[in-house]
Amino acid sequence: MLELDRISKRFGRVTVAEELSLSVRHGDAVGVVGPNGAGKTSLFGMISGDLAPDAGEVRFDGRRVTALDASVRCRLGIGRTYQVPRPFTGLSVFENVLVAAQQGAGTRGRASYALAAEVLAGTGLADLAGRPAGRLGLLQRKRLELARALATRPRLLLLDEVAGGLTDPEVAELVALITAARARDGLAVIWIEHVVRALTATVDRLICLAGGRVVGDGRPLEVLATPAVREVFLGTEASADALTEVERDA
Amino acid sequence: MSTYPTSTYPTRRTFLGALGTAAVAGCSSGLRESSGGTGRSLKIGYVSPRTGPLAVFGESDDYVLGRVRAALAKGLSIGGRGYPVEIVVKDTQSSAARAAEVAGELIQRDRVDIVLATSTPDTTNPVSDQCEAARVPCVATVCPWEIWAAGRPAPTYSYLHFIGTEQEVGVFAGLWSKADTNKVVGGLWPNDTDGELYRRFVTAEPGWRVSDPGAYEDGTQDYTSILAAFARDDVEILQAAPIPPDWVTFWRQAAQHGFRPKIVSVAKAMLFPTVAKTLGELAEGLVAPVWWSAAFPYRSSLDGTTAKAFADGYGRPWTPPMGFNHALFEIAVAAFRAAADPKDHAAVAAAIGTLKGEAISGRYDFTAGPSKNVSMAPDLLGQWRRNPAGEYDLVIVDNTLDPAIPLQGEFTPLR
Amino acid sequence: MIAAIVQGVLVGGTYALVACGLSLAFGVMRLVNIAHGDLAVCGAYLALMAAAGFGAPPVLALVLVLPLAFGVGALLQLTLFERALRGGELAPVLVTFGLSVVIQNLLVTGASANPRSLDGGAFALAGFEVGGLTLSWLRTAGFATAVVVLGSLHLLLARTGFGRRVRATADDPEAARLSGVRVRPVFACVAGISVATAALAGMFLGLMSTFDPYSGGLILIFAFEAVVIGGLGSLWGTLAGGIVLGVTQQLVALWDVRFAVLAVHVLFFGVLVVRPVRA
Ligand SMILES: Nc1ncnc2c1ncn2[C@@H]1O[C@H](COP(=O)(O)OP(=O)(O)OP(=O)(O)O)[C@@H](O)[C@H]1O
Ligand SMILES: [Mg+2]
Repeated sequence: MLELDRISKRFGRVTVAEELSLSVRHGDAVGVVGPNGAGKTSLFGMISGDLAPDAGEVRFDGRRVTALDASVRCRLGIGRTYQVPRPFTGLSVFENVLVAAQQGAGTRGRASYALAAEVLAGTGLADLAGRPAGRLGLLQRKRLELARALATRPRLLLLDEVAGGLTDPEVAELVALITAARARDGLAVIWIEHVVRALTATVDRLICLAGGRVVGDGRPLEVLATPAVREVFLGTEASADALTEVERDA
Repeated sequence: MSTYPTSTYPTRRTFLGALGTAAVAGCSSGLRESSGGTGRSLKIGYVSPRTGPLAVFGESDDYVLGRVRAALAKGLSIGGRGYPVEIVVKDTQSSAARAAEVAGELIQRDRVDIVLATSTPDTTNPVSDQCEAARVPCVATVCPWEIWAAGRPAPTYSYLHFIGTEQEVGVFAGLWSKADTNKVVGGLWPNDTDGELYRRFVTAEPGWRVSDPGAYEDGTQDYTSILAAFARDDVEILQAAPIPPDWVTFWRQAAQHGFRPKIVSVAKAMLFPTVAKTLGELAEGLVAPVWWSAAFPYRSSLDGTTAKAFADGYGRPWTPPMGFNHALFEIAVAAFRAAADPKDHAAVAAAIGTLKGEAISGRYDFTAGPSKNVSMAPDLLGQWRRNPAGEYDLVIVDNTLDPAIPLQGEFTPLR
Repeated sequence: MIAAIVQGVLVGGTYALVACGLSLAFGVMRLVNIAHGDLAVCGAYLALMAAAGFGAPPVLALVLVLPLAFGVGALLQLTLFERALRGGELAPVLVTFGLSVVIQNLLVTGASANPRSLDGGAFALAGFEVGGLTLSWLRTAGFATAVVVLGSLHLLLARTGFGRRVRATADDPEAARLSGVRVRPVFACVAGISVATAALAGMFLGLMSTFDPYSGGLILIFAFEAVVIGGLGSLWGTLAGGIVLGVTQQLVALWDVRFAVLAVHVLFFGVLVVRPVRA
C-alpha cells in the first residue's frame, strides 16, 4: 500500500535519506530502529507530508502523493503520531480528537462525536475528555497523540517512539492498545522505537536505518543479528544493552 | 537569435541606459544654453504638498500650473530679450524634510532662477531656509506670516505674501461684536503652531472671556471633555483652528451633545468646500476666513483672466489656495521684469522687495509689510450657506480689510 | 469623572472594533498586518461608493461591503500573506507595509486626497440623556457593535466546528494538517473575517469622523496599542485593551487635554516594558 521510491533528503550537510526505497503492504507491522539522527522521524515526515523529499517519490495505494498536502494524505488514510506529542493545547482532549474525527475521518455531526468518544474510550482517555490538552501528563499526551491519529481512521499508522520516556507497565499498556487497534481495524503500522523489546513483541518485520539508508530489513531477530546492524547498534551503549536484552528474551 | 552577436542585441538594460544618457545629455545642453547666449530660459521651481495628509492644498496644482504654462507659453520678453519659461514642479509629500530636500534639488540640479513654495509652514519654512542658504530668490504663500517670520534670521532672498493670524483674529473679533452674546469665547486649538498663535492672539484681544480646555493632539477621536468644559463655561462663541478631519469629528460630536454656540468661527478646516460638503447641514452658518474666493474682483496679471473665470475653469469646487498659488507665479514674473537681469539671483531677490501690484488674489505690497520681506494680504470672512442647488458656498459677510471686494450677504448668528 | 469613564468605555469600544481583526489575524496566523488600518479605510470608501452609487444608507451598504471585504481578505491571504508568512518573521511585516503603501496610493489616485466622510443622517448626530450624561447614539452603537462582533467571534471560535479548526490550526498548523485540517481555507476565512471587521470599523470611523487615503496609519496605531495592552491574540483582551485606552484618554483629558493622546502612547510603552511581546 505504501511505496517509497528512491527518496533523498538532506539538511545542509546532514543526509537523512539517500535513494531510500521501501514498501509496506496491507496489515503489515513494520518496526524501524536506528541510531539518533538516522533520519527515522524525517522518513515519517516525508510519508505524512510534513517534509518534502529532495528527490524520489512516495506512493500510497499506487497513487503518487509526493506533492500532496499533509491534510490530503491524512484523508487518504495516513495517520501519524509525533515523537514529542503536539496536542492542540488550547482545545480540550475531546476537541483534539473531534477535530481529527471530523477533518481526518470525514465524519459529521453525531457520527463524529461517536467516533471521538469511541477512540477516547479505547485509549483510556474517556475520563479526561473535558480537560484542556495543555494540562496533561506525558503518558496522557502520548495517548492523546495516538487517539488523535486513530480518530482520523487511518489505514496506515505511523508511530514515532510512542513508548519513549514511559515506564515498563505504561509501555505494555500502549502496546496492548496498538495491538487491539490493529486487530480491530486491520491497519498497517510503521513503528519507530528505541525500546527494541517493545517492538520485537509486536512487529513481524524490522528495518534498520542509518545515515539515511536501509542497513537491514527482514525478520526482527535476523535483522538484529546482521553484522551491519550490530555495528550500527554497538555504537551506542544504550542500544547495545537493548540488543542483549532482546537476545536474552529470545 | 544566435545569428546576432550578443553585444549588439539591445537588452532592456542597455536600452534604458541609453535613455538615461540621452536625458542627461538633454539636461546638460539645457544648462549650457542657460548659462550664456541668446536662447536663455527662465526656470521657476514650484514646491507644494501634492500627496500625503496636506494634499488638499495641492489638489488644484495641475490646473493652476496648466493655466500658468499656457499664459507663459510664449515666454517672457524682458529688456528686449526673449526668455522661454520652464516650470519644474516638486512634491513635498507633506513632509518638511522632503520639502527641504526637493528645494535643494531645484537649486542644485535644476538650477532654477526662483523657487515658489506654498501651503503650510511645513513647506514654506524649510524651502525658504534652503533658498536663503543658497542665495536663490524665493516667494512663499499660504502660511501665516507670523509663523513664517518667527524663529528665522531676517530674510534677504525669501519673501512671503499671505495673511497674518493676529489680523485674522482681529477680524473675527469684529464679527463677534456684531452679535448679542455673553462674550465667552471657547478655544478649540490643537497642539501646533497655528493653534498656539490663535490662543495667544484671542487671549490678548480685549473684551472677551476665553474658555480654553487646553491644546489637544491632532487626530483626537473624542472631544467629550472639551465639550463638557465649553458647556460649563457657557461658551457662546467658538473659535477653532483644527485640521479638517478633527473638525468634522468635533462638530458632529458637538451636535450629538447639543452644543450649539451663537457664533462658530473656524480657521483652517472650513476653508475647503469639500469639508463643507462632508458636513452637509452641519456646515450651515459656520464662519471661515476668506483669503481668496471666486468672487474676488481681481484679474491675473499674466493674461487678464478674472477670478471667476479662473475658478470656473477648474471644473471642481474652487479652493482658497488656488488664487494664492497662481499669484506666486505673477509675483515671480513681475520680479523678473523688475530686475535688471532676470538671471541675476541677487537682483531678482532685491526686485521682489520693491514690488507693489495686483494679482488674481488681490493686492500685494512687499514694501510695507508688518515684517521684513512680508507682504500682507487682507483677510475677509465668509459664512457657509446652502445654495438653491443644495450645495454649500462660502458667502462673504465681512470685507473690512478690503472694501473693494463686495459683500455677498449679511452675517447671521447660529441662534 | 463618571462621565469621563463612561465616554472612555464607549470610545474604547470603537478602538476594540478596529483592533479585533488585527488581534484575530495575529492570534491565528501570527500575521502582523500593517495594512489593517488602510483596509479599514478601504471599507469606508467602499461604503461611500455604495452610498453614492446606489443611494444606500451606510447600514445597507454593509450588506455589500462586508462580503466584499471578506472576499478581499481571503484573496489577500491566499495570494500574499500566505507566502509572506512562510518567509520568516520580518517578511509579513514588510509585505503588509508594502500593501499599506499600495492601498494609500491607489486611494489617492482613485479618490483624491480630500477628506471624506459617511453621512449617517439624523441618527449619527443625535444624542440621548442617561442619568445626567449626554451620550451619542453613534458611539453607543459603535460600542454595542464591538461587543456583538467580539461576542460572535468568541462564540464562533468556542462553539463551532470551524472555530475548533481555527483554534487547532492556530495552536499548531502542522499537527492540524496531520489531523486532516485543510489549513489554507481556514486561514483564508480568518483573513476574510479580519478584513471584514476592519471594513466594519472603517465605516463607523467614517460616520464619526472623516477619512482620507492616509488615515490608516493612525487607525493602525490605536488598534495595535489596544491589541498589545489587551494581551496579544486574545479577543476579550482586545476589548479590555480598547476600553483601557479609551478610559485613560478621557481621564487624562479631564486633567489636561494636551496629554490625553500622549498618555495612551505612554501606557502602551509601559505595557511593552513590563510585559514584552513574545512571538
Ligand atoms: N528541519 C530540520 N532542519 C535541519 N536539520 C534537521 C531538520 N530535521 C531534522 N534534521 C536533522 O536531520 C537528522 C535526522 O533527524 P531525524 O529527526 O529524522 O532523526 P531520528 O532518526 O528521528 O533521530 P531520533 O532517534 O533522535 O529521533 C538529524 O541530524 C537532525 O538534526
Ligand atoms: Mg526521531
